[in-house]
Amino acid sequence: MSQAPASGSIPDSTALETGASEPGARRPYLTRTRMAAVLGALTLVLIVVCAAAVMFGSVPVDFTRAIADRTSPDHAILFAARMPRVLMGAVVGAILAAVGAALQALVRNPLAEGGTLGISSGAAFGAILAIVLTYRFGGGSAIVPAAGFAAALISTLAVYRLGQMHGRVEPFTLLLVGVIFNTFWSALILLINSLVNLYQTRSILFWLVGSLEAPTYGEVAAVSALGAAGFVWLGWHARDMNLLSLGDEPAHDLGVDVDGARRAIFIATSLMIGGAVSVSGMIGFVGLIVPHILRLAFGADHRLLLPASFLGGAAFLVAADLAARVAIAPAEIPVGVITALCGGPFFIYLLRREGHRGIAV
Amino acid sequence: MLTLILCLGAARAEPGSAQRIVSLAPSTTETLFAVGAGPQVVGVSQYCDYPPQVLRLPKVGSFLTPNLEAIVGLRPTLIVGLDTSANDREIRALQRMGYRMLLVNDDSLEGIEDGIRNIGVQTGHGAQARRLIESMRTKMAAVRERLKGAPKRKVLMVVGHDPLVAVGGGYLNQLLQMADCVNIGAGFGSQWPRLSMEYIIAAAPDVILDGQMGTDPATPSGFWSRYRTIPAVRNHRVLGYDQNPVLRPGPRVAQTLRILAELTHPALFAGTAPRGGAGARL
Amino acid sequence: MSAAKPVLTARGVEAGYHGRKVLQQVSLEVARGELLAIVGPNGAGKSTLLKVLSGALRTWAGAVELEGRALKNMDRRDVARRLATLGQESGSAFAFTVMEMVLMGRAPHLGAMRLEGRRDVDIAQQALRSFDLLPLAARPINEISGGERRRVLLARVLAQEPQVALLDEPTAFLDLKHAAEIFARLEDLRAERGMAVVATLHDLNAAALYADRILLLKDGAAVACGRPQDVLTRDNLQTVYETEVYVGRNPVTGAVAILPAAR
Repeated sequence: MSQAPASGSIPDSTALETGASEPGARRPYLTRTRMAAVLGALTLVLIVVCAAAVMFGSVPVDFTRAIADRTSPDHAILFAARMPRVLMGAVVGAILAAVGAALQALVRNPLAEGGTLGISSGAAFGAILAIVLTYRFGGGSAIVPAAGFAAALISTLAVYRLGQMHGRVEPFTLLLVGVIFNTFWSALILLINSLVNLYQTRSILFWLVGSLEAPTYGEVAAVSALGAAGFVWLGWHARDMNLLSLGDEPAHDLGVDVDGARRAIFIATSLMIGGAVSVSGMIGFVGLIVPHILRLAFGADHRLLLPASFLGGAAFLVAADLAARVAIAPAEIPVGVITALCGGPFFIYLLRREGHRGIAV
Repeated sequence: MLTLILCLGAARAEPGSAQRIVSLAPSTTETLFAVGAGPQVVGVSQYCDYPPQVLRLPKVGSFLTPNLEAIVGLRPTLIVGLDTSANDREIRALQRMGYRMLLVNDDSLEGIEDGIRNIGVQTGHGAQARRLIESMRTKMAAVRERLKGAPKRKVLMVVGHDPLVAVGGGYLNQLLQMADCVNIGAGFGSQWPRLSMEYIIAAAPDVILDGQMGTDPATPSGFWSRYRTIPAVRNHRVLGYDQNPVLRPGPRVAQTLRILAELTHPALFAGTAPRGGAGARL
Repeated sequence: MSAAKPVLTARGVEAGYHGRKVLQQVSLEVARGELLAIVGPNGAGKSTLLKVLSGALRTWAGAVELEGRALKNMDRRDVARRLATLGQESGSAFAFTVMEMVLMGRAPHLGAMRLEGRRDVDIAQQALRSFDLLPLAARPINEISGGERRRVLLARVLAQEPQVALLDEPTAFLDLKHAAEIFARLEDLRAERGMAVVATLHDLNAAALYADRILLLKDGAAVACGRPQDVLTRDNLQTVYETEVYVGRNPVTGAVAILPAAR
């Protein structure tokens, strides 16, 4: 498993006792220097991972020929197959990880992400329904992501509402509601599946695992635009996320328009998940693994965590997809299988750890 | 009560032949009708649509999930299905209940022939089954004859491009070879490998057969046109095929061979009327 | 002190939850530098009143004014720059450091995309120092004790540099020494900055000792409001708490002292 660096120091206790003024010791709060260093390092990691992902694949490529001869298969492999796929991996990974970080702050639960809360499966249901209906009745290609977004938003709002008890978000109730939503949406997907013809079912099941197979530059551009817009919107609320993680009342008392911030995060994350799921299906656990490792390494402040997750998520998914492409080349594994293989055990580990600490808010 | 009905049903059947047959797969249904056992068929799977008269027969679920109650309610004396593992539980349940089962293998041409022979024998149409196999072989030999001396074509055959699931083994791979094609999906140890786009570009097939072109009106040409260096794309040799009969491992495999041969070697078949090969062209 | 112009006023406030009215016609005003204690039995509406004063709970009737402006018409950040609240929060789901937690008090003073600057860090460090928390600055907030966390939240209130601090049981979880220190700190701040404090206290002796004025609540209504010696009378307390009490004088400070007297 290769992902964003986990090497950043967890402050050791001897340095802590001496406090913040010790020269050379890491300051116990977010500074401009740390922000620049971390984001710079992650950008570098992303570039290296993307370069590796472009260099290696299921078949070797002659790069001089690829660049010199536009009609060569090498050119096509590199520019028509590999590049859009790497780009799509980066965009989808960035979206999933940033959305994970934002949702975790919103529901005050480090186990939350699009997959565990059932939002991704909601988006997948919306997208699949749209696909089946456009098969039958026709319609523009924008309908699929739009339906994904709408279903993701409904899912988010419903999970959030149902995960509350007496006006507060209960961490474990929320996760259970997420599990139930996942089951429910999957059942609806399988219902559609049993109503369509045999040859469409393969295509539907493919959504349930998630894959970055054969994207177009057009799709990459569309999802990038969604991702960038959502990211800026979330970034505007990064400090609100810090305060929201304390609870609604403390956030309110520290000057946050709680309802407004929450609405913005709901819409932005749903937009992003809807876009990502409509091109890549349900790729799970990226939003769980990446923010968690980054938080451990660089601290909990969302003004750093959010952009760091964006970069780290991109690097993680590109790396996972590289593994998916080369593991049994020239056949391939859906990348969702790789992320789930990493993420499943990681989730259990987190659950047990948080269970010990008691994540009750 | 149930056993009584079953006993009665069994008692009325002629020795060695079955009077009330349920078929769990489109290909076995086709075989039953092709060997002349059609009038004995009382129930079929929901995917069965050939020959057309099966559309009027009662449905007993899909071959992935047969509906036990519907099957039992039809009081079958023989149940014909596929030798796949997906429906193990239901098959075992039917066996426990004492039904006569005939499971045929559809992984290879030999398996398909054996299936036809067995179905013929068990339904009392053994002679017709032998004649059917004979005529299939004759038709296939005729196609082979016409292909004599034809250049080998490098072919990619996919069920669909979303996801990219290719033909890797099984009867379709055999038919492709008989049609003088080199199947770039073969040799990966899987009957339906998921190939990477990079490999497909590198393998540079002369012809691409995409089954999704029949069902997906919006994207097929758009999908492949991105990969201009593939000879099949450049030379407009990305072709759709009709999944019915091509994906039916039954008595129409001879017709399927003819379709594959026509699609991959059109010059050799010029002037002859196409036999059901879909013409969707890029 | 109460002669000065009030910074925070509540007039005829009524409020509650889920259709159930908790506060009935409560009025109060707090002047610069003043400490107003809200006391009363469990369920009297002390915390509810604090939530109304902070704007977290909407009033059904009546009005709250901060520096002469209606609270409900003010921008949230505008309010948070003038009014800070210590509630019953228990920390974060994430491992923010103590320093980060205190720096969050600077949030209302900064633009959305701004990081805290040198001045904000100085203010936060000053706040940590005044509650003896500097050695804990780098510790994760969810790995310190309940008493320490309480002091961290108080330090955050300080870092917010408010005109008014609303403190819900500021000395909960604190031992005698730290509780006394907190009141001493508050005393300093009131003198230096003229910060007004409204605190709910279940400890009547602390209220008697440190408060300038006391508001005594029962069943969501004000029973009495005024100087400690006028409010904390035996009659008032026995009516409100429905138990026998002894009211005397603390021989050291001279403040009113209350002891339970029911056997």
